[in-house]
Amino acid sequence: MNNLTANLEEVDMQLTQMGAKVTSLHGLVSFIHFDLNQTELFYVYNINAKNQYFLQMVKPFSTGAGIFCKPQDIVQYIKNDLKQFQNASNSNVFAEFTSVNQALYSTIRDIKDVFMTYNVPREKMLQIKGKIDEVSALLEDIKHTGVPL
Amino acid sequence: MELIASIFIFVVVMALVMSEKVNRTIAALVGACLILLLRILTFDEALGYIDFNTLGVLVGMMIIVGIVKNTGVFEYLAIFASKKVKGDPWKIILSLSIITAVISAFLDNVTTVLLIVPMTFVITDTLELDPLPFLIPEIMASNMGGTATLIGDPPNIMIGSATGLGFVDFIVNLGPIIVIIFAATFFIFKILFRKQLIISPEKELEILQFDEKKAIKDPSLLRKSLIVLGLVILGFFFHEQLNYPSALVALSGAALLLLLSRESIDEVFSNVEWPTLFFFGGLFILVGALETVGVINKLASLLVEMTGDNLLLTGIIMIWFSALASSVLDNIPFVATLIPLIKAIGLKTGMDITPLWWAVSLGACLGGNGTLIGASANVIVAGLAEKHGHRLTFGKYLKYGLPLMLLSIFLSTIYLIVFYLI
Repeated sequence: MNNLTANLEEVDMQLTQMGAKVTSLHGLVSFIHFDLNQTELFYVYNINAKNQYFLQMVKPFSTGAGIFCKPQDIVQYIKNDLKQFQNASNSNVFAEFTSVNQALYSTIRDIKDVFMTYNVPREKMLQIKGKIDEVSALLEDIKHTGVPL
Repeated sequence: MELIASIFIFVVVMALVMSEKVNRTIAALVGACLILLLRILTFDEALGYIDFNTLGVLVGMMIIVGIVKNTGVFEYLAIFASKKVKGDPWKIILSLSIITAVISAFLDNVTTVLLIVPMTFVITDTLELDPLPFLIPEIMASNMGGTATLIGDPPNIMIGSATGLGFVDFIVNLGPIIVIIFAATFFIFKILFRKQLIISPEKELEILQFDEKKAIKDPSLLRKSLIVLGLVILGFFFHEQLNYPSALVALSGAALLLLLSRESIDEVFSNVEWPTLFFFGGLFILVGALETVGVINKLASLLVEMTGDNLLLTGIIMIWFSALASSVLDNIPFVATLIPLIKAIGLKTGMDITPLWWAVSLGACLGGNGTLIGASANVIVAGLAEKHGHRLTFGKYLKYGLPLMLLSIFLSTIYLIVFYLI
């Protein structure tokens, strides 16, 4: 037991009183950093006593990559990511790609905040969905008409 | 040559430990290895000086608390006590301090404060009060509680192991004075803190919104833990009659709870403070080297020359020296060195040295209340408080700690004189 466990206990107690079921496990955290052409890739993964790997990309944008059970799965995922980013970082619109993704995650947060704070009429929600469908259709069009890397 | 080397290595290690320039475990291990490499002790001799009973008690209780804390029982106790006193801040301080003292009588002080302080922060945040008037009494309660039993503080474990004094011996001889000191200390705290604990009745009622039942995470594990804890406490009460070392009681309890709880062994063992155990191991070897080369014997002779075989004078010197030293130094190496010294005094003078053990125990354990650096638990609490945005400075603690520590030693001295030294 140490200062970290004391901090954990304080948080756990408050969450438990809020009604949460809290399970705390010992684990290890690894930080993974790649320096690429136009960007850097930064991941964090946590492995715990239940042999689950929680992988999260932090840079160039924040996204949860998933829960894995085997170390090879983590490596394969990052390998695929790395290959794609290495190809993409040679593109002259890579900076725009990064900012599009950051804007996308910011928008997802905003949608959640608005929905949780305001009474959103059905038509407005459908309008938002419509805009997202437009983006999906545009991406499909790029897949069909674009040149693979 | 061996004499000079042993003293030099010991002094350097202690200086590094006290200055915190090097981690204490690393310092003790390096020192111990040097002792062996220089052949001051053989490997077998070194093993002979390691007090495995002390290590066994520590490991056993660390394993037990590592499992018990997962039940949420400590959180339950803190919420239950706070609700029972209807959110009255002073009564919460008193209740949490009593809980701290009782837990500390069975677990080491650092573990106790690591369990209690986070809950204290949640309560003081709810009441919107400064946590320091809660934390300072809890620090002192943890040191007091640990003084009252064989297993409450490492110095007592070491003394009990070296002398054969049992769990009941400590409770019967030190329990009464600890209760008196606790009462006197908290009477004074009530006067000192009364103006800092004024809150509105609405805030007090917020404490009543806590649900202590939510704190229990695993009722089945809680039942098993309470049964095993009960057996362990019974075991400590009767370990002398059963002729079992205290370590066997602790380790048996730990083994039984591991079997019943089915907790992951890796999870449980991650709660064992291995650096602390290796620090003890290294320290025992360093002190053993001093014994082997005759330093301890020489110091004992010096002390006997100064005091004659006057038990009263020796006892008073022991308690005050232990207290003042312990208020600024780590009491574990200090007591580890005193143990063979007192035994040597006993051999030289033929006097009954049992009162000296009580003097050292009271001085070394209660002395830790004197300053912020007097005990590891104090430093831990200050660190947690700082992280929580409330600085407990050396000076701020000293205002309360030093006078109250001196009062506790004064009361202990009178107690020793009346019941043991004359």
